[in-house]
Amino acid sequence: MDSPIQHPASTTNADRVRIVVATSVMLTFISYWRAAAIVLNDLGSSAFYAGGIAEQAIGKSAPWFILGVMLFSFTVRAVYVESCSMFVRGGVYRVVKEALGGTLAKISVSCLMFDYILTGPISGVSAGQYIAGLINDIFVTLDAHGWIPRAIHSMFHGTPQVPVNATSVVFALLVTIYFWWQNTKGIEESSEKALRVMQITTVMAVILLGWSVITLLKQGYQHVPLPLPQNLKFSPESLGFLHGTNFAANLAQKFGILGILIAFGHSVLAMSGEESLAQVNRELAHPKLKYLKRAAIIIAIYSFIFTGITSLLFVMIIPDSVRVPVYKDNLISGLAMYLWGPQILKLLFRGFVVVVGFLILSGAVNTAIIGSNGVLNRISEDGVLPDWFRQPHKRFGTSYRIINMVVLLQLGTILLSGGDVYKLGEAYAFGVIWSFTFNSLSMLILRFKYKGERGWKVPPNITIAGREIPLGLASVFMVLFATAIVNLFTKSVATVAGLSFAAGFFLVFTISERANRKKHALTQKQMKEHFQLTQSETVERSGVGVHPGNVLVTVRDYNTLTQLKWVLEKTDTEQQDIVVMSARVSQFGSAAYDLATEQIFTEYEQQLFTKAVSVAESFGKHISLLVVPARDVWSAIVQTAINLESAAVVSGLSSKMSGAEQAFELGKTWEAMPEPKRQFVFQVVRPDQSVDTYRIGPHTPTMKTEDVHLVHRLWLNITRETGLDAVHHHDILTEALTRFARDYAGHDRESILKELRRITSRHIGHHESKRESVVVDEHTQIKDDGDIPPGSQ
Amino acid sequence: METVFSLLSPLLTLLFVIGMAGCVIVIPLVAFKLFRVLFEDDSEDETGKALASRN
Repeated sequence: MDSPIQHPASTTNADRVRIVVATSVMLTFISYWRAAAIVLNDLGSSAFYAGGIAEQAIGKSAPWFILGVMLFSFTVRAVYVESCSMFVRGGVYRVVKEALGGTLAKISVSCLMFDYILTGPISGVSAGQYIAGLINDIFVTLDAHGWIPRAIHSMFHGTPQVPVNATSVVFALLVTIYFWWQNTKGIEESSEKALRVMQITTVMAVILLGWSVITLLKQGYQHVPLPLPQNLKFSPESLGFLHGTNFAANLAQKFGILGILIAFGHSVLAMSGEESLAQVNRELAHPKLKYLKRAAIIIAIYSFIFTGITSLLFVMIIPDSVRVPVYKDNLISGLAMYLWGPQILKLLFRGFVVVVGFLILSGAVNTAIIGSNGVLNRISEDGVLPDWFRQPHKRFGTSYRIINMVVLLQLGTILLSGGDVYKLGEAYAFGVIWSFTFNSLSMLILRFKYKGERGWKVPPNITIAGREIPLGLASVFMVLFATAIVNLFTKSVATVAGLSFAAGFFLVFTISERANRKKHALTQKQMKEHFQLTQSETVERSGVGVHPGNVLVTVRDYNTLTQLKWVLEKTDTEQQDIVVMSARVSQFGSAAYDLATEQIFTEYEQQLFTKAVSVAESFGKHISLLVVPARDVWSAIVQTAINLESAAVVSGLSSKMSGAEQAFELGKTWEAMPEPKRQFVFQVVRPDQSVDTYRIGPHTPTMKTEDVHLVHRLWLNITRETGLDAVHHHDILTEALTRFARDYAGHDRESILKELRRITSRHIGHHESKRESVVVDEHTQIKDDGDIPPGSQ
Repeated sequence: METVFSLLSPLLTLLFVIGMAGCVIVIPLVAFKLFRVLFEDDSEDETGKALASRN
């Protein structure tokens, strides 16, 4: 292993290595429908448990409070729209830091982390409750028909039943472990998946609502008590620290409006997930603000109907005798079982409900890990967590230590909860309400502190004596603040857990920040001595200082620079420039946060580039260095290659996929890029220095010898026909392809695909047995773009 | 705990009532303004300038 460059204690500008740091994260932009789907995957999942938790806390009038919270969520969303119109890379941390400073920003992030840590367990346990409930009801149905074998019947001393809470815990643990592994490997966040899940959820919601209306017409409905103080029935748990006090003695008389406030506080978890809107804002396509507003109203309407209206239906249709005792933790399933119609249809629909619940709640488990990983990555880049946390996985390059910590906390929470959805929901509300409260307070302060323009303001705003008074924002803050304070008293579990967690995290942040301050100052000094960081908003060829037709080498792990060595061996740098690029992938949550230059080029990049420069110097050749932040490594590579007008991109072999798969991903990304774009050669260098070469973008296919002979034989036959002596070989190919396209679009599609699959399976078998022969000539020189390698267009 | 709560509860109730009274106006205004955007043409965002300074 080459030793890193040894620099003298003081260096001049001329000695420093120049590195271009692109500060604008390369993103693939999404539509407002996808943005809404991503947010609804989080927000919509609360429909599966919020109603049950609220009714256990405050009684049968809970649906009105859920509806009220869903209406109120319009205002909270409006606050987020305003913050996003000010900071494209917004979110609670950024907003609070701007308004209230670093200390309160750390506290607000601690609350947000509590929100994320609990989202996973409550979603996983809730999904488990739905599954366990379905299994038990299937057993009951089977037993009613006498389909359970006698031996099993006697083993269970009756109808077989799985222990619901224990099953939920096991399920939640398994799902969390599954997503821990996926996140450790670095799965890509997909708006496509979120959209599919919401489409399926919408189908379920439409059937549920339509069938419920029929049920109401056929069977009538139970009255839902109005949200008045006399109709509130608080359980001992729902009074928290107030239980056993004089307040509890005469509830209806003493509570009044306060009772309404307490009940509102117990329903607040129905609007969790708004923070996702700030995170997804960055990736919204242009016109960004308009699309953000559209996403916001879609989310509002959907969540009002799905979460709000269904909570009313729970009480109207499910009998009181079973609604809370039996179905409190899987109310949508309960609703399915009490719809009007044959039992078998209801059971089938219930199965569908459970599948949808599994999809959306599991998605929420994943989002919780991704979101908290993103937030902690951002915090640790500020030096607020020890650098040890940020060290990437040797194989996958992910921030696995942060993921491990988050998942361990989630697993511990699941075990501690014992499958109790109510306890989890109560704790969950702490993070939800306090992060919203901090956000709204900060936005209120920024109305006076930040003098710049905004694309949107929460209405109404009145002007008195030349001063604008933000009435709307102030109203929202007052409601959130009052609710948050009341919840401290009425949610004892949440208060103790939330305050302990927030205090613990805040302590860790503060100690780490102080410890890192000195260390970072020294690192920054060393970094400034060795590297000259040139900040650039975007990647431009002139900014990097290279000619067209250069070679772009992607690097990630400083222990594996085989591809760089291979390029340095093959390339004449007098004729062709070499650019070494590192993509700093920021995951979904952290994409919302501002990344300053020093946070993109970190100690890790310093080590990586020190090694790269050392390798280049051993060859006596010059390389240009580039760091690019991105949400997705493929778009970073493709966009950079296009911007730099690279002739070739050279990478090492990924630990997660084959060279062909890497080329496929690049090709897919290239196709999605807007014009103008250019083709390039993609080469994957294996550890043994063998190379696979692929062409990205449209290119002349490599023809087999027998195909060339076939075309020639056809040409010979056709040119013998009268009037066709002017036909060329390419005319035959054109006609063949035109006919192929017509047949493929017509009736012969399936037979064509069958034949292609047969051919492809022969290729795979051939590749595995004759690996070396598949590898394109490893000695192929990487040519300047003006001198195209043989076989391409 | 009861003493603290009994001191705070009137203030919290007042804050809640005033806030909710304000939100009764905020909610329909916000709903109207956002709903209107659904039917607007996809032309250039006229407030794009405001975003530029903080992007």
